[in-house]
Amino acid sequence: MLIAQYLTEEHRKCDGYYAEAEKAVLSGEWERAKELFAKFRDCTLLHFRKEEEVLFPEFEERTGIVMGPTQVMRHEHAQARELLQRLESALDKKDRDGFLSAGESLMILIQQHNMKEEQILYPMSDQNLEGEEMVQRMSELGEV
Amino acid sequence: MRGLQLLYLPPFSIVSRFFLTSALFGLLGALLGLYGTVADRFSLPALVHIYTLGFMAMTMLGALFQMLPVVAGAVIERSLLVATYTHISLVLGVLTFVTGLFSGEKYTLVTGTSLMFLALVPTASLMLFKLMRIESHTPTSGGMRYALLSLLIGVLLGSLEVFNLSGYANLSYSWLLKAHLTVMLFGWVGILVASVAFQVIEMFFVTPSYPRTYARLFPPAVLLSILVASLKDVWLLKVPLSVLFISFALITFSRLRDRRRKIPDPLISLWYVSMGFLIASSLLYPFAGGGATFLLFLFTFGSFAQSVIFAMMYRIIPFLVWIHLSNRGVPNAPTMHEVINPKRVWAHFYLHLTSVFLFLVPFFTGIKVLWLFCSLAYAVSFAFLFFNLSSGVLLYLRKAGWQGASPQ
Repeated sequence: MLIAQYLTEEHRKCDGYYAEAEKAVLSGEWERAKELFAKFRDCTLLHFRKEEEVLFPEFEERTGIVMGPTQVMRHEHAQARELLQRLESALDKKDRDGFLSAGESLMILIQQHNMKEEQILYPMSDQNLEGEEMVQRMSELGEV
Repeated sequence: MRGLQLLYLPPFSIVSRFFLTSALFGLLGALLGLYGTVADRFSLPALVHIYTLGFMAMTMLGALFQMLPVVAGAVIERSLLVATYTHISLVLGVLTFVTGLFSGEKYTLVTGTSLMFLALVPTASLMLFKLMRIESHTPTSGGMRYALLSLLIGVLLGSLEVFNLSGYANLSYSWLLKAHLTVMLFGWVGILVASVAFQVIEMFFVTPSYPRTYARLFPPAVLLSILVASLKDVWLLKVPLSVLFISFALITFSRLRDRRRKIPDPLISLWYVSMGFLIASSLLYPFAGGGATFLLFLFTFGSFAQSVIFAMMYRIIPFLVWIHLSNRGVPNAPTMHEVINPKRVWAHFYLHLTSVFLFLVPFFTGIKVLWLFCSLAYAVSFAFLFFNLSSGVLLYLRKAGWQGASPQ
């Protein structure tokens, strides 16, 4: 399996989990929203971990590009983590508007981040790295 | 290497200046319509161009400066300088060109045309050049090439029209006009909207994706159909173009209906309305030879573009405010709805629908005095757009200022 295919599928799965959590918030089912959001958060963070611990270091070592796309992706992961915390605190306060507002920013951040990864970073990774081995190593961290 | 350029986020001032100016041009267009009604001095070409160039092209070029690096990895070096040149020349060009169209004064018109040429051709060529250097294309980046190519062809045809009118050339004016109009509306605007939709509808609303082959073939098929439609002025040759855009609108409808994010969102409503207008204008297009049908075609196409542009602006500005402030390290940077409250966007959505209704009433009843209300409604709508967008920009400036940094 290609790295691009494996990680793109994870992006789509995470999107779906967010949509479910958002739906629960919208209907005021706070307990269910917390559960669904936790699933979305855990999957997103696991996906970030796979990239930060496996893909990015290997990419940097093979290509010699250290201060390039991987640094930008790490920076955007940090921004996403901050928004995840804001969403979590909105859930704790049952703040519907706060959740939806931060959620919208997070969705756009993640989507434009995903676009860049899917169109640039993953194809570059597939060109320069051993796809099967990378997917195997990332899978060992768990499944989204 | 292309990937290295991911770091690049164009300065916030680029998008904000293009978007704010375009709202002002929309307002100016509505006031021109109001003046036309009161003084009984109406110029359709002036009104059409203040809207298509001042509002539409202004927004679309501003958005391209922002989107090219993200969706295509195509970076324009010294973008602030290029954008400043484009923005200033476009503002001067639109003002002079529209004045020329309104007054019929030959030298103003030729000067305006030359300014428009200087505003659009270098920037569109540069953007196209950057996109052509990319090795592998997504349907979005691939489609943007066709849209920019259409813009260049459209500018060339439009310039020829003016030189023809001014007596510097002797070509078929009616053919030039129809070819210019077709390539600008369906090529430049239509392909660009579709190319962006291929990417953003799926990603932002979590929908099934557009069929990949369809998305890849759509832009070249549109360009080919424009060529077919321009061969001869018969309705049958215009049908392929209509079918293509109706199919695009229907696929977009089905994608939006099957979206996984079910949140009530004014932007989704704007997309629905926009696609409805696209279907209406595509149905009218083969029969829009002149008179009332032609006017209705222009109006429905304009409303399609206007609705989708509103949706785009209300998503881009609040997101950029957040991301630029977050990049500056502003703690708890305001998120989407804190920048522009959805209630205001809903209000604008209904104002937009009211304007459309107030156009259709005098159009079908022929009661002249009602055009006054129509122009007023559009003026209020664009003024409200300007107010909403500028409140977002001001929030950015305030927050960025608090950080002790000079705003970008």
